[in-house]
Amino acid sequence: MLNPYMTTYTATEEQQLTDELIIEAIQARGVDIRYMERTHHNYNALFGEDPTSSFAGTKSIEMYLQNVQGWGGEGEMMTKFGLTIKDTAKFVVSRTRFTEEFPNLPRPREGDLLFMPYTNAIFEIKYVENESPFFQQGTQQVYELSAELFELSHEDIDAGDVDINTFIAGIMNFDPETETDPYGKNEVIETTFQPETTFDPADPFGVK
Amino acid sequence: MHSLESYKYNKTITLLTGVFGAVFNEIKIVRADGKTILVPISYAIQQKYDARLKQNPDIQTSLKIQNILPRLSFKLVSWQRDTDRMLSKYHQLIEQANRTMVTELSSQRNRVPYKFMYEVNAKTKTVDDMLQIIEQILVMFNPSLNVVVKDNKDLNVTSAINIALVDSQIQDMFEGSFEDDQYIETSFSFALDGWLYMPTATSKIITKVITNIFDLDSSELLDTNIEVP
Repeated sequence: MLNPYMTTYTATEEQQLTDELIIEAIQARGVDIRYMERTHHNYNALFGEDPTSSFAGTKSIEMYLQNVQGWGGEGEMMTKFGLTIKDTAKFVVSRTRFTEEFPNLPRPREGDLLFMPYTNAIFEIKYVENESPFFQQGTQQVYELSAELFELSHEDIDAGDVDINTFIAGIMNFDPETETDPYGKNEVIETTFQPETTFDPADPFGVK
Repeated sequence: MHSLESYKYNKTITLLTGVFGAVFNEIKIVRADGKTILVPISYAIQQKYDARLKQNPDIQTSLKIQNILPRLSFKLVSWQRDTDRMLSKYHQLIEQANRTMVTELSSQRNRVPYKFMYEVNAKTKTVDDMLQIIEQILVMFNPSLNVVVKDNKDLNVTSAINIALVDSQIQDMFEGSFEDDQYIETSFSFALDGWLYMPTATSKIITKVITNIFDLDSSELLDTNIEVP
């Protein structure tokens, strides 16, 4: 049997004090992060995915960035698909504050996006750790969000903020239906090599 | 060596590689919401400095993301002399250099058949996107595709190039920690039956004959230096 005079696991006043100190610390040393919720529009139950997902943000919330000496992950890498940036980060957000700001969400969700100003980076939440620190004083005060730079696949993103939307529009400033530059060389291949052949990729079964 | 003294380069492999890429130039993905995406394709090997400068030119003010998908890339992997299509190397390929006026002839020793192996890789974020790409490629190769290419400009010759789908497989990483990478990639292997051309030699054709006329019975020289145009 536990010593009723020593245990802190049921001391709600101390738990609340710790919670308030954590909120104060995050608000003092954290960053306002734009939280963008994922919405499914055409969910494919067979594959468990929705290529037409969209993201919408309505407000920001303060989070503490655990990385102090730079991003985690492998950083900039050259792959057969061009430049890939594999930066990762860990954000800490107060449970109490998250519930206040996003009462519609039971917790931060894997798959939602975080926009971090100053770095202009969009991260996707990969995993929400809800047991770290591990039940100190018998309760949990924070969520620890493991996030990775977002891999864009032509999803619609509306951050609900003009400045952030300008950043997003800047990287998607081409018509994906007809243009691929700078991510593909379709235009160069078409103008340089298409005339050297009678094959037409737009009509692969046509005979010229 | 004497045979390597002069510079001979027909850019045939470059041409075949570009034409191979052109086959996959118009692959599209159409999403359930009607959004159409022309899948970007590029040669897999790019200079690293160039890749970063083009895809992430302004690191201070542009949005930082991991990558944009879907993507296609292709790469020349290997080649081998195709003995099945080999003909006599002493055979000559001859063609008028000028089609409208017969002034000279171009000739080459027989072309050399080579089988070039290419690899096409596709990466998407979702299975549905990937299956759209796979199905468009598979149905095009049944089991091969013939492409007519102007591959010998010196002789004004076009060749039917056969491209065969040899193998394809999907690689998907989804097991493990939630923080680990999740990706879907498919690789296709192709064999392209191409030709490499020998150096071109040009020679003037005979347009004028200068001759003497003899009477064979009397051996009398009847006329000299007659020009026949």
